[in-house]
Amino acid sequence: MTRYAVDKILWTYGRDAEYRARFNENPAAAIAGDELNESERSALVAKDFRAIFSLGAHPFLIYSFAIQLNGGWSFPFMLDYVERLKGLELGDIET
Amino acid sequence: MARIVNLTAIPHDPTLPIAQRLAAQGKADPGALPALAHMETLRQALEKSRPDAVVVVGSDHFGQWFMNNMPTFMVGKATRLQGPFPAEIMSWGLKATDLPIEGALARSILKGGLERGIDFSYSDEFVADHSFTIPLNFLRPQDDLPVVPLFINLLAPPVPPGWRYRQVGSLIAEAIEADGTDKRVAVIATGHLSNAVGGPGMMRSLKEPESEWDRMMWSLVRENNVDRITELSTWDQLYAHGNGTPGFLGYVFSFGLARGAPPSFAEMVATTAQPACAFVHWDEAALNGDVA
Repeated sequence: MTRYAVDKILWTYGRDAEYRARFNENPAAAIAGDELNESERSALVAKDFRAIFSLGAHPFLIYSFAIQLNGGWSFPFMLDYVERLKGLELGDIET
Repeated sequence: MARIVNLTAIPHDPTLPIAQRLAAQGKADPGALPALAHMETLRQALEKSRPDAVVVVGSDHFGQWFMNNMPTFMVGKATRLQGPFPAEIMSWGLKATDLPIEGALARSILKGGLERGIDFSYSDEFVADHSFTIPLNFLRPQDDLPVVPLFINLLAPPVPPGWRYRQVGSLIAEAIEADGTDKRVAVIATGHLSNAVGGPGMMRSLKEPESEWDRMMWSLVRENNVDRITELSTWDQLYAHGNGTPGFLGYVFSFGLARGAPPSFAEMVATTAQPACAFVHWDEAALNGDVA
């Protein structure tokens, strides 16, 4: 399942500063070698949390990824994050 | 035989240590104060039980275990428990923790568990994340007891159904008691009530601190209706009430460890200061089935 690759990218971004720098510079290049479908690839390149969530990535990993992208946690950040997920239902997240 | 002299199941919400620091300056959100008061009550109960060692049951939050190799139930048997992760210390101002591991007890639980049908994983090299260190810091701030960490998977599905968490808790109690020493053992478990960190329901607890699910589940806890609690505790049923709600399986594990004994203390805190959280405790008399 390619969902695993999405989770792995989110996870690696949170823990590997060198990977994070590469992803920040050029997300498409950073994930070029990963086994992803086109929806997953475009959602990650666009850093579109709503789409990444809808594709079944693990919410805890998406949130950690979003915090890192934001440069840290803040209350306004959290409000914005939840607003982006508004109306979405929880779905399957097994890899 | 070793005896379980104290069993506590509490939250590991990282905002609670922050609230504890603010409370010392009189600046804490009033909604956090009941939770801090329960932590203090249970700290005193742990002290009164005079344990020789503490088994601490938590769940890694992708700090190290990932879907490339995900343990369901795992014994940590390194020489030291160290944690939490530097990023957790930085984000929440958590205390760095470094405690000796009671290696003989860890091996008794591992081998005794394997003999009783728990296909434990084990690790000699790991970091204990905030779900271990926050409960330990609250309940034993003097850091003077050896510990045994047990990792249970509460957030990366698939996970076993609730009956297995209950059964594993019960089998671990047997393994502790068959340890062959006269140790007094305390167990600290942790988990969630309804919780949605990272999901669309994350802000619900600000508007509705106590969900219908929290009320329903809490009434079952008050009745000590462990059979019904267990039936309702599968990943799918819990997940439907928030992506973090499967963390309730940590409490199911503690009900298993109590083997049907009603708790001597059970309080839910549902305020806007943090997601709903549960404080459940069995003293030695309660664990022995003596009604207080």
